Amino acid sequence: MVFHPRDPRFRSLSRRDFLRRSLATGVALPSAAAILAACGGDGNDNAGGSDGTGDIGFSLTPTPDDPVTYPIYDDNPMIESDLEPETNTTFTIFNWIDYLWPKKLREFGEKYGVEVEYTTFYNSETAVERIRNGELQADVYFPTYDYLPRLVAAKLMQPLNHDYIPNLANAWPSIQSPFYDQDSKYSVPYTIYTTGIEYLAPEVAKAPEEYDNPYDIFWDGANAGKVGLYDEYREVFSMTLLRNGVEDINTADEAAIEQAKKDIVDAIAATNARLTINGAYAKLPTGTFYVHQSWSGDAVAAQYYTANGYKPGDLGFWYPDSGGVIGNDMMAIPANAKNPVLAHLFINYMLEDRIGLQNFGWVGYQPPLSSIEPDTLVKDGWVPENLRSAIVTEDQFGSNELILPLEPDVDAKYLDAWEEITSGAG
Amino acid sequence: MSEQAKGVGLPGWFWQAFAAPGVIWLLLLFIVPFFAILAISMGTRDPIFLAPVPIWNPLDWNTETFTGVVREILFGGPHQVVFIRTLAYVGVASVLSLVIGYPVAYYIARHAHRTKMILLILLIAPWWISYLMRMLAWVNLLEDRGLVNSLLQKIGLIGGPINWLNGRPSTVVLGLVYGYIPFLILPLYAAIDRIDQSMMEASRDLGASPARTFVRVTLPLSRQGILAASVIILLPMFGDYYTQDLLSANPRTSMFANAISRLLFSRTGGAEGSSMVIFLSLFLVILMFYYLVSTARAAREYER
Repeated sequence: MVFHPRDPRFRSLSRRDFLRRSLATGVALPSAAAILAACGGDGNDNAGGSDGTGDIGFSLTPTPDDPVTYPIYDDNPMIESDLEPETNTTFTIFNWIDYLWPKKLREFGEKYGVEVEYTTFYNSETAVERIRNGELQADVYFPTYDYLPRLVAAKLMQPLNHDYIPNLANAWPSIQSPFYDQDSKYSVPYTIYTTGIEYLAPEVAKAPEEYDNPYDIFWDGANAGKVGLYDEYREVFSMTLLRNGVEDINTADEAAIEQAKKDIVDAIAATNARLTINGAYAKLPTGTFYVHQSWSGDAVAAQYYTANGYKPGDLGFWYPDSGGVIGNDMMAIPANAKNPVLAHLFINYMLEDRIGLQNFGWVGYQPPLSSIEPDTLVKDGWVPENLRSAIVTEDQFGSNELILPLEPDVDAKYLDAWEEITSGAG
Repeated sequence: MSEQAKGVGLPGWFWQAFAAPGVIWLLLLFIVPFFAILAISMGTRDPIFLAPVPIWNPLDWNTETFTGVVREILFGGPHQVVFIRTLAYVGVASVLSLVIGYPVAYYIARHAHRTKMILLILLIAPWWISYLMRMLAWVNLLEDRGLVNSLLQKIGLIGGPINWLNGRPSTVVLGLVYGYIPFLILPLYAAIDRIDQSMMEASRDLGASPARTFVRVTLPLSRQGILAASVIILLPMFGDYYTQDLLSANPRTSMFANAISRLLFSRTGGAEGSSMVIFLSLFLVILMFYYLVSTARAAREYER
């Protein structure tokens, strides 16, 4: 499972929220599992398993080197063009909490004269479960790229009719046909974000760029007691692997994982690093941390959380020129949507330059639209100059790495190592 | 005597039956979730995702994960480290709570005549605010520029602010003590209050000093109360995870329940987390067993 910055485990501190992960998350998607039983993995024709191009016809773990083009199934066709939008209905969005400006949704509803509803989910597993068993008939769903192949294979999403989505041309050309969905057949991009290092410039001993290896800031005892990392194993391991010069953050190399584990334990010992979820936007701007691993959206949002004498101008964000961690979210339409025409129109609406920019101002996470340039964002005051590096540019999408889902046995290695780290036993 | 106690013409089970709906409801709310945990712990893993799949038929249960977890806790591994650390924290926190709480309970029961009501209300006051809010308040107080550091610096005890929240076991233990001490003081007060005043008067009449009376008479008589109050705080302390989360968040102080919550939140660790839950429950059952045996023995002694 790829961790998501909007996962409210990371936002809310309520005990009820901690406890709400139900047992249902442990139940695998039976249909996907049955389908996957026919698939060996990322398309390798290895002996011992069925090949990846067997019954499904495409790889369920696409990579930039092995992109996937989804088929259009006969029993799951796209809607016809030139249909009238539905009326007298309730238009439902199924999304992470606080991940879309409610005002924009309301305005869309007013434009087409329909009621609107914003339903939320806590994580991808429960969201998919609710769609799969038909409990919820959402019109637009916001999947993560690791689940998209399985959703398409299980025919839970419907193919998009691009006649309704001319605004897709507003998005970066390279993201209009990404490796996880070539030709944007089932999804369109929604946000893009990077994982970098956020810091309080007046407080840290040295800024990240002053180190030979900027990631070393997490190992520097000079900031002891003021260092934070994300409480998510893939993010912490990715950062450590990159620091150690391992370019592939999805590596299966045991030696690399073992070394990374030792290094993470050293970092925690040297700096008393704490694992948090909201530390980047909620705690660092108040001085609780001087350095924190951070998503670009958290850094942008941090400017509104400053306190204790710190100002937005004190914040800094470092991200490598290439070879960093990048992520992106999409919009898709479930196959059982009640209002597919409105859904298409909504996706088109969100891809409008003006709407996308306004939504960014509220959400903090950036849509990959060509009109949104670092210069305009800084000039118009959306992002302060000192956080310019938190703005994601198109060339970064091509030259950086996504955290991809791992084969189960590889995933288990990371998880076991994480278990040792988090129990303080390493 | 039983015929006289019950109403004329009412069957023997009549009054017991009033408790039945509540008891059945509680049993269901306990047994059903616990059975679900067992089903996940003794279940299998989906071969592709390694996600846990529950097995509902007890005859098909697969105990591999559970025995693996128990073996790791008993013989070595990350879980053992966490378990021993939790034993240490809970042990110290309980003893501290007793040491701090007993005098308070004793004072309210024995010496606070006019102020008893007010003190009791003050004791219950923390319950008006949830445990979580009280811990968050402590986070606020313990911050670098919080009240605690400001006060200590003003008095001159420390030169610069102490970073209380960066992973100190002492902060976590004190958080546990603060959080659970009301649960200890109230039952303890009730137990001490129940001690027959005449016992202590007799002891004084026979020449014992106040200190000796306390050690030889009051303390042993309040033993059952101490045990009950300790059990009331021990059991939830073992399952506490957000005290550590809020006051420390450092892996070096992580407790058993933190490991459980991490595993249960992960995609693949459900069976392991459930097995740890079962292990903890069994361990606590053993503690409870000791308590129940002791109570039964004390009740028998009392009736002699």
